[in-house]
Amino acid sequence: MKKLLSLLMIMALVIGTMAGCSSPAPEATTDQTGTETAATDEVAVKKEELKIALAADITSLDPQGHNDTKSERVSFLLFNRLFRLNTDFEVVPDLAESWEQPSDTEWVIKIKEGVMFHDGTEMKASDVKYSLERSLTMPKVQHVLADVASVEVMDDYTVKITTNIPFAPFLYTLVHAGASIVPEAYATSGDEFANPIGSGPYTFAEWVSGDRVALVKNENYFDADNMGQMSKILFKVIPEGTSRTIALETGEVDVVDELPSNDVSKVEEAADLTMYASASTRIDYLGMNTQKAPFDNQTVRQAFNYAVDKESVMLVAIDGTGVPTASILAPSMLGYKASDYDYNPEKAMELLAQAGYPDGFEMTLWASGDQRKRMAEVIQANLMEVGITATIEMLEWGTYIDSLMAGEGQAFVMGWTSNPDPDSTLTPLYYSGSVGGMNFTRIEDTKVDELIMAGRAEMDLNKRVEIYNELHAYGMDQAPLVPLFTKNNLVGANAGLSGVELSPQGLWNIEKITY
Amino acid sequence: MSKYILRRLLMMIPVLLGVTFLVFFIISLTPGDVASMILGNGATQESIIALREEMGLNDPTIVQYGSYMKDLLTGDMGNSYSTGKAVSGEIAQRFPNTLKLTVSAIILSVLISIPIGVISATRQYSLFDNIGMIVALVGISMPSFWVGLILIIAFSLNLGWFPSGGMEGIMSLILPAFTLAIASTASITRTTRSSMLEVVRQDYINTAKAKGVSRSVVIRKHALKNALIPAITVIGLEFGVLLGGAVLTETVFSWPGIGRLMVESIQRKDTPMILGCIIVFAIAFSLVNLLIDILYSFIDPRIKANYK
Repeated sequence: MKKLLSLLMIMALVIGTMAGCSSPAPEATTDQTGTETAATDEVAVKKEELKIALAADITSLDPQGHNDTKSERVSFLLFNRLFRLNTDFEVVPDLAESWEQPSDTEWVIKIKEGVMFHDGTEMKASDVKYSLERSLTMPKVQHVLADVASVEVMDDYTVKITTNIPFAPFLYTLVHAGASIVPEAYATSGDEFANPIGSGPYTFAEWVSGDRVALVKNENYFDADNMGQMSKILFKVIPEGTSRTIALETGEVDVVDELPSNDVSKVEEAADLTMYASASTRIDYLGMNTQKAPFDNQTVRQAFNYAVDKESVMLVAIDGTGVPTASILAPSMLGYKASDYDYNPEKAMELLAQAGYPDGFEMTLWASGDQRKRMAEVIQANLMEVGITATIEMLEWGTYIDSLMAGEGQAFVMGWTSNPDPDSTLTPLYYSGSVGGMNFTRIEDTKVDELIMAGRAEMDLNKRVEIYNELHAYGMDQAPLVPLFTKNNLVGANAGLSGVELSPQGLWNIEKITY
Repeated sequence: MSKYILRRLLMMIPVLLGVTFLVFFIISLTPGDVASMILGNGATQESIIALREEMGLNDPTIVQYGSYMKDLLTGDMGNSYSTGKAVSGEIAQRFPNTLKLTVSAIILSVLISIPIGVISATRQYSLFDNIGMIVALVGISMPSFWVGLILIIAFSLNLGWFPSGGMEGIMSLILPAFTLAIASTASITRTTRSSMLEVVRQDYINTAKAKGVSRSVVIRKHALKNALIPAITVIGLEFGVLLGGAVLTETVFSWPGIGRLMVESIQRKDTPMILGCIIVFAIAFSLVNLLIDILYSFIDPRIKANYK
């Protein structure tokens, strides 16, 4: 017995020492700042390499072979598109020198002269034609330019693109990585983009699958104002959130894309680190199946918009690192208009009584994954206050999507990340033709359909905004969903860096970052 | 002996057939449409239907399996659905990384566990034995991702001795190998101890002692050699498990191994990549088992006599 006691004491000692190691002792911190200053001294000589942590590996070096934001980070440095987005999501020219619209369906675009690919050949209009046509044949991005009918070469530096219909967001489609311009000679050489040749501010060095992607500055970049700043950029794949933060703290990486929300305060408090955030284009919402009772009743859906406390949901789901939203799209989207719903349980009960449910009702609330489960739990508590008993059912992701497409759910927690143009969200989410697809709330409304169609054909920006304003107001009156919050893009970076920019899609203009 | 090895190698063929068949059908039963996953959110219904047709996804599962096996026999594991790259190339890049990690972990745990197991057994119920067994119990019980994070916080963040992740040089191998070694060390230690305890109670050990053979020779030559068979079995099993089960450690330490590749592929329903990984695991597991069986024969001549 005595032996056992002494043993336990030894164990306690061992664990105590371990815990001592894990809580950052003051000495350790001074030590760290010490090494940091040493590092900053070296900066005078100039740090050559920028290391960026990515949450997942890229899927392809072919700009038209992927459709995810991680691969985009790399593609945007290796390739150019005719247009690009600035941090405010406005379309600005990239390769395009000038452009005009002879008719509603025709776009004549002149590219800059003297743009060199990394292999030293000059970009010609034929490369543009080839690239845009190739995009239509590539599975992952064929939807991007789906409205292009034909591309004609006018002269060495001019192309004419014809669209199937008058399509207002057309320039927005040209900023997608899928509309990158690749050299025809290289793309047809059979290398399959193992050693990609582009025209961007950085050239390709190596890709070690699952580990890293290395790029080197392109000294002959055509755009002197947007030259790469660091001589090398290394993307390191660090799938675990906590490990990413630690790598930033130890200085193994300089920038962390997708910082875990529970590490935000840690980065904010660290003197040698800076926290960056921007509202994303994502919207997380509580969806209601408008074709199933009791949610086929508009008043019930409106009552739900008063019953849910968005602030609490956001706090529990993402540690408060976002903004509550009040409409069918994220606030950063063109034509956003907030609705008047506020958190008001009394009003919700009033509406429920009006709808014929003075004593509430029982319902099932679907969710999938950890974060959505937490959201569902807060919503469940909110609903309890207005007399509604919600049972949470957890589904595996694949089953979840399939069942929602089939319209089997009653109410569910979902999210949607939008492309820059609102049409790319409005059509899949709210158009009647998307029922059976991503229109999980199964809203089929002629007025919504008309407004969506009008919005995508309207070339006048102001008029387009008006149409979307109306759609937002009408959509929230129909209330197929309770918009909850828009997540922030979270980027942590070394405080010694300048030029760190974020757009609603996260880390942006990486070529501008420098020590 | 060589006949035996050949027979065992041939037996891998039905094993592989069974494994690929099972996995192929399990994947086909899981929800989610491959074509719409490849095409993404913006895809139209028509393009999804066209791609399904093109990829032969409308054929009955057995037909799809048949065409996969036909390609496999010619050495073609197909291309990944999500990256479009050749599965064999991707696995050739990732598997050596996992092997490096696993072999280091197993060597580490054998070096630690056998001596501790032997000492614990020869000094049963001593302080050393008690500490050893409690530590082993704790080692088995600790989840590897937690151990990994604690090690990173202690040795990378606070002490700065090792990199917190990635795969650059020998230093980056130490923490993940150690993390991986902890659980297997624990179970090998416990097995060694219990089988040593059994052996030291045998009559021939008493005989050896009575003949005046020194204590260390009795333990090394008479006892340990006979106690090693169960320990080696466990080492073999642990090695096999580590080859496929290093997923959490690979994730925490950002190690580009095949375990992570497989889990990511499952999430993307990337059938050719999942099958490729499973085939490699099955081969590796079978080979390790064969190796262990051959090792037995060196340790115990009686077993060798059975290998005909």
